[in-house]
Amino acid sequence: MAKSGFSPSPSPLSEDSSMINVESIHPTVSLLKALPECNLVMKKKGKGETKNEPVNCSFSLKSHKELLLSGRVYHDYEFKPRKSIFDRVTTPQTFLKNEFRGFYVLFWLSLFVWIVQLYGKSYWLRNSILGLPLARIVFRQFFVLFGSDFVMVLFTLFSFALQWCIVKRYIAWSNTGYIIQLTWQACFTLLAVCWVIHRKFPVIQCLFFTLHCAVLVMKQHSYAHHLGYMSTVRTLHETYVDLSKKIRSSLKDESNEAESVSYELEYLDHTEKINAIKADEVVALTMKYLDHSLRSEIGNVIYPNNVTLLNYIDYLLIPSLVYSLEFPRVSKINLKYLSVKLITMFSVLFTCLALVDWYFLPAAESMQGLDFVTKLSHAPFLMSRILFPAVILYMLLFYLTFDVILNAFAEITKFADRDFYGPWWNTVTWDEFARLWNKPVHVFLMRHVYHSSRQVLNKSTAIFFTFLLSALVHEFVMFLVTGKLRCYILFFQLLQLPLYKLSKMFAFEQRELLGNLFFWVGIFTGPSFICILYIVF
Amino acid sequence: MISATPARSESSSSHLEKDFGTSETAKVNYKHSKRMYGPLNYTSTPSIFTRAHQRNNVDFTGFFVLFWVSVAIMILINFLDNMERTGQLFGNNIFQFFKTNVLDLAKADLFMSSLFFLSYPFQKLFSSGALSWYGSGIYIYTVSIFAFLMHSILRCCLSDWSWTHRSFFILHSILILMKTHSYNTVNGWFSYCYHQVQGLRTRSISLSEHDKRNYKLFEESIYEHGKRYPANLTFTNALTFLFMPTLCYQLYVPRTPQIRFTYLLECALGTFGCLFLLVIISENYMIPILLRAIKWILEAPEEASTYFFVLQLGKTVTYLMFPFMLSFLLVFWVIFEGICNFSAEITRFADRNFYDDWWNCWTFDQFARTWNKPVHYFLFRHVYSPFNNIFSKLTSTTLTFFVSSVLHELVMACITKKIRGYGLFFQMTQVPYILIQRQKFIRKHRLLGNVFFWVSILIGITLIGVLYILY
Repeated sequence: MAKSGFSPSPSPLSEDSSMINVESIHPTVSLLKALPECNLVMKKKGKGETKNEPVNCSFSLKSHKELLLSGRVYHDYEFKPRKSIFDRVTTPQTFLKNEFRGFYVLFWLSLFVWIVQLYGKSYWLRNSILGLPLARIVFRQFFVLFGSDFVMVLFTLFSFALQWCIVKRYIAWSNTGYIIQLTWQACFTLLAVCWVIHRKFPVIQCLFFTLHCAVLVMKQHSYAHHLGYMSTVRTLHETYVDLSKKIRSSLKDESNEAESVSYELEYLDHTEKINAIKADEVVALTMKYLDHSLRSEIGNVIYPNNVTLLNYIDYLLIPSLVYSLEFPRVSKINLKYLSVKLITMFSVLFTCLALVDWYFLPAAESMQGLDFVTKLSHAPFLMSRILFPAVILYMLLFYLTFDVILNAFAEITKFADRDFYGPWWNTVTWDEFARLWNKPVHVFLMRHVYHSSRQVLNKSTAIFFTFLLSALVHEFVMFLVTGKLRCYILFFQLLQLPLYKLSKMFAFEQRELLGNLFFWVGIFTGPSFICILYIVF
Repeated sequence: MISATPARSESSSSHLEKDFGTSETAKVNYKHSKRMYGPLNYTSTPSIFTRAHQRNNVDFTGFFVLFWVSVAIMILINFLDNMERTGQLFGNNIFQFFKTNVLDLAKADLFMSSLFFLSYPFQKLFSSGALSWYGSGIYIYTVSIFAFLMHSILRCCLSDWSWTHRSFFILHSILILMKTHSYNTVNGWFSYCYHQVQGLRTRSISLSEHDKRNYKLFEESIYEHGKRYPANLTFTNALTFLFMPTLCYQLYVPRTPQIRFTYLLECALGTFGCLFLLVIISENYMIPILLRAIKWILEAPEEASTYFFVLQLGKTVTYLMFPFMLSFLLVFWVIFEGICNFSAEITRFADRNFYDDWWNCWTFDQFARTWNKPVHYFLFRHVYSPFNNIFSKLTSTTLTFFVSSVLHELVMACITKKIRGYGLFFQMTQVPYILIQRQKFIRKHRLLGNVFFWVSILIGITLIGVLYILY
């Protein structure tokens, strides 16, 4: 809750400041834009002989205003306590009122029966227990994998150490800290990639390790940039505190010295002489904004106090890729919910294992060692056999990652914003899909890629750049995992941009059902199809 | 209703006045009328899947679209499979299968349906007073309806049609049977009331209290929202009733203002599309497995134990569970969303509530009451109520189940040309099953009850089907 010690002080400089948004203590964009863009020059005439040699101190209010404005990026997403969609819909009271709950039950029941059937078929027809050879592959190098994973997590403490040094003022963020972080992120990624290639992890381990590495890189990036910004704000805040003290002491001091200090506002085209009180007001206003910027959205945490090891470890566990000084929390851990999620996780993993073993492994094996032309002739029939299981696998993996695993982590850390995905199954256009199906990554891309690049590029270029970056990262992961540089996923993802223009042409937003139909056809010919392409060719 | 938004809720009827009109009977309370064959409480409302009503905040229509897209892709995949194996799209030239004997079937079907129209002059006899319904009428009627049924069964079994033609013919016959029964019994009752009213009117001076009440009852029976008894006996009326998607005859039914031809086309296309899907599913997923099972059984060694046969049954059931389940859902869609809506649109019949949300139920009597409302209303009015006047509730329910099982068994016997009794057996076991399901434990844990329900449906349908085909 916001501490009420910071009540707005009216200032003649801008009317807006008297109507500060009481819901958020952070200044809105309009308030920030109303700050003066000039230099505050303080001329102090020396005593005695040096009467005519003024000592000038100049403070660039303009650059400070730009700093504050750039910090608005960190308020583009607000963490609110909310539940994920499937959790909301399956609470007992709402579930029993839903009209189509029978079909939901039928879906899970059929899945269960299907998997049991597969286990049966595998035992009787193939004389092997389903999933066992695959599980053996997965658990190969188990300890090496988890050991290296743990070491990777330990390495991320470097970012924490850097921020700690910045807090203790050994290093400054602007330029030094920034470059160190950038080089560190590059080294970190390089180390992880080299390790993966060196150890020749099989597919699933490689995927796990690479994705975990990507997640950690994003987390560190967000942590560093957010706290780096905070450190610049803090240094600025300290200079302002000094300045304010000086002005106020010179106000109280009624000796001749007071008259020897004059203040000017130096605009681009003219200079305006102001008195001490007005100067004080200007400084106080900016100081107040800076002070608010050092606080969390909810208001309980102030900047340097949050740079602790415990906070960093907690941040690593939280299912969010952007750092915030204070996350909304639930009051206690619900053990029953957590155990349900863990059980679901294992069951869904078993299901996925069974599906992959029964449908995909034979397909992959049959395609090995064939030349390109034979593959091309066999491909449609192979794809027809695994297209359905691929789509079901995709949806199960989505459910596993975004509803089960992320919710489990959120429950462990008592994290309250569980909105990890929106209703992407109703979407009509592909950009809506990209925004809804993976909200943590969407928020990260929006804040650290799109908004940051908006400061340099225009809107459509920034969008294109974000898409490009996302596609490149996806392609890189696929390259590491499959060992083949084929660029299918890069191609398909970049195809989304002209497809989006096409869907606008057909006005799918108005014809929702038709648009949704095309969307689902796209899913069938999209993610699963791409994976099949990687397997086959 | 099983769900919280029943058919007659505010949100369903308010948007649709333009398309569906209003029903005068919407505000009438029928619970306290003591008459026989009381009219059904129809409201102008569309069926659940076409209803645009309030859902939860989160919309799951995407998954509904996914279902249809998956089915379509499954068909495409089947085409690819067939191409790979046989080089043709359709495998066993299944459409040839449908074309044989179609003319013969059409003739037989037309003849049987036109037998319905004999009831119209038959009822005219009673309205004019030449015969009395509760006297000789009932005997003549019973004999003729029995003859109709026997004719259908014999025509079906003694022909050399394929099983698809036979199933269509026998189902259509049972449908016509139910309509004829309803038409005759209801109009017969009306003729009785009419003549009683006439008789009482002539003796208007010396009427006892009892007679006065009877008079009122009889007069009310033959009048309903502007439609009066003898006036309804017209050929057009009988024709419309034949095509309406309802099995209970009554004087007044709510009508929509006009026929929407685009919707008609949509229903027709949907029906044919789903039938096509059903053919493809049965051909690609069910027939190969069944043929293989039949081969195994025929080639079974002499000393094969019952365990061998039970194992074959078990394996076939497991493989066929999903295709059967999918077929069941598609058949449900074809009949209740396709055909019923089509005939309702053509006859401008306004109450499209042909099914309630049976997928949410947790006992089998709920299922029986909600998944097929036309037949439910028929059984309720013409089987259950007459029995309920004599027997207790439990006995009449059991007897109604028995009648329904016998009819289902009859249909299965005509389709498969085997008299085995599996259908009768399984459907009668539903009665004790219902008693179990009504216990407090299940009533408190409805979700668990729902899960058990789905398991029973999944296994039950397949088991009965496979039993009929294999053994």
